[in-house]
Amino acid sequence: MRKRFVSMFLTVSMLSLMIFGCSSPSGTNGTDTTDTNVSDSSDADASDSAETITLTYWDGWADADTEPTAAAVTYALAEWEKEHPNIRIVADHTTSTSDGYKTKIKTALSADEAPDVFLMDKGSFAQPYIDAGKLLELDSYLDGKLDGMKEGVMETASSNGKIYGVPFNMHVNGIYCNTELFENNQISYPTTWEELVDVCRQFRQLGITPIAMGNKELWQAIQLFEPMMLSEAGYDYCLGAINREESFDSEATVKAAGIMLELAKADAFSKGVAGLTFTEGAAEFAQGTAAMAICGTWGLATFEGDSVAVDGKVKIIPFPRTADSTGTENVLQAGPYEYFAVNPSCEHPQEAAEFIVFISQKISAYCFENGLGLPVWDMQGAQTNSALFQQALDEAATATRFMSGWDFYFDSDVTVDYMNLVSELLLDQTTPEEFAAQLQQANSK
Amino acid sequence: MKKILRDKRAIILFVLPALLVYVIFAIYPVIMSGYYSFLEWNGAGEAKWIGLDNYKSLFFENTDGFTDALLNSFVLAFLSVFVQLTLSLILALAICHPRVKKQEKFYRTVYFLPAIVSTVIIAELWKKIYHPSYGLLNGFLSQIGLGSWQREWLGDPKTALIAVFVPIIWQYIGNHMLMMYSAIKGVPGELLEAAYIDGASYLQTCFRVIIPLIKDMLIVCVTFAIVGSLKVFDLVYVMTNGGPLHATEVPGTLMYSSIFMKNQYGYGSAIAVFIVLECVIFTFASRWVMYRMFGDDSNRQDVRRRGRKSK
Repeated sequence: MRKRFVSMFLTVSMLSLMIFGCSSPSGTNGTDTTDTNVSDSSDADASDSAETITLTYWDGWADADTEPTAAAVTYALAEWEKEHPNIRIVADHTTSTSDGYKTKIKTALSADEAPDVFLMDKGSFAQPYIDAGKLLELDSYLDGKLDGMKEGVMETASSNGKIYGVPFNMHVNGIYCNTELFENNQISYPTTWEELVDVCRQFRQLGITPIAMGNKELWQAIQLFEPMMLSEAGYDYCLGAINREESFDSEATVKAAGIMLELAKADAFSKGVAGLTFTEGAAEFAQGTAAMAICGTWGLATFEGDSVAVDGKVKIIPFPRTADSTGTENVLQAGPYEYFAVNPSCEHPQEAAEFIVFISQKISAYCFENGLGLPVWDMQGAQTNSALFQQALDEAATATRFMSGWDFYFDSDVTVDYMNLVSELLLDQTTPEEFAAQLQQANSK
Repeated sequence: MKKILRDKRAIILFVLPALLVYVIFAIYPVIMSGYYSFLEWNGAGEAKWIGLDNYKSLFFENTDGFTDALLNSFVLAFLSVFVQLTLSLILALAICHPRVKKQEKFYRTVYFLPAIVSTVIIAELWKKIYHPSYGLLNGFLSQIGLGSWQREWLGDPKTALIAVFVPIIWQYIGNHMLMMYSAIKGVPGELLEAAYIDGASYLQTCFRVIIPLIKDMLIVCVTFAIVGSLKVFDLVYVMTNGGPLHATEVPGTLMYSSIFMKNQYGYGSAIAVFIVLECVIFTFASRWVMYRMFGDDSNRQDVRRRGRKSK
């Protein structure tokens, strides 16, 4: 009897542990993941009628301090809840730091476990999933809903003339300068690449970091290299070379690589640039210890605020041009980089399409007003609160053409090789000729 | 209780939950990785069966620095066995010293702390130590007049590898120390007393009595250190992501970038399969070598037990 009791006790204990161990803990979040249930679950239970629809939603902004778009999403979701009480959104926010969100959404898409609505990077990131039918074609669901969208924006989320998502804001890159350091040291803002190298040398001699940068994630250096290529070779050539219609092994590439190497030799970048993250590099500029930073409007909020040393002392200048440039082309590195997409297995595609248009409009307006990104919708009469953002808008107005980062055009494997090759320039580990030949080789695979 | 242990149904019932978890989360993914390694697949579209081509690319036509990554993991394994385990053994023997009996618990906890702290926290902590501008290490070197020794520790391909390996080795010293400590505590007290009565110093007791008696645990630690080094990923990924310029690449980071950055699921799976096989082979090989070199006490004990029974 006693033995049987022991046996039963152990069995019951084991089964209890299994049941509790396997049940999902309510309200448990990963370190970098936050779940937002826009409709409170108790309310949802109370008003659980046949008309209530639930849509699952994922994005890559978990922390409003380092990912300012998170605040815009919170606002947009709250607005949606007010206006659409019968469509409940179960949101999951994952940080984009260290490619956390990208890894998560890629895995989910590969395993056919993506949510109803999700954030997608454009270009080569999304293309394999579009080709595999993992993003819903939205043309029929968006009929008449895109009135007021700025011209050309939808190309970002289109493939072969079909729409697969709705963008929500745009960004423009530039050189952010610490006006105090420039003025106190009587150094002029550079307008040509040669001047930029010279300015960097002057700041280094003064013991000031010329360009704050963190290139551990590999994408920051290419944001400086691409404007060099665009000013040396022009938009059409660059796009042609990316599309394998031209060769990167050219004089223009050698020249652009030469400028990057000159900057590396002038010790232009943050100490330990290859081991620092973008955030660490930006922090150096925000603390007022660096003269310049390469940034886009997405990082602009880092340089504004009462607790920021450079608040009110930042000037955005366009990327320099070549000294012998005679053309009128002014290509800015800019554009929408991401969009909201819908899962083809979503049970309520029409409602999902309405949801992504709604939050796109709300996020676009919020980002514009708070200086977090350029709008993709017409914002007649709207004003931005950020003086720095207004500078970025003025810079964008001078552009004759826009081009996104090349990592959105290259195939994923070429992108990694390309970013590593530019890193070699940054660390003065190659020659311009070798770089040009290797880039062409990488893009010919 | 003995009856329950003899009952095969009870054994199956109790083993089943753990076995299920093991099969679902360990065996099944390995089998699936093996399958994916024969495919050319970008993670989204149609997969194409390409046989052993991914393995050919990995071993014979490699262009992504796999050999260097493998060598880096071997360097880490070497350092783990000869530096990490040596330090762990010294610490374990030190806190078992009769004179530190009162502080034993305190030191044991302090030395073990790094092993229970999250890897990400350790990586962030060491990144601050290595920071080229305000890092503790460069600040310390400057303070003691060794400013010329200051380096961009994680940003310079020449120093990044060793800079990443130091925290990896540091992190698991406590773990191995605790395993060795528990083995030392299992050494019969009468043997130690006998050694002291014979006039042996603590150092002599360590070399003549304790270390030979904890040999089995040392072999387990060596196996763990080797396998842990070969499959290292997390700390390297957070600290350097395999850079700069692939200087700190290990097979784990290469697998990650192949799958999640280059969309080469098949090739990345081939690296994953290689890591699993490499770990299995090194586990058996290292144990075989060490038992041949130092003898297998457990076998001897079995033989003794069997001998006693037959008498």
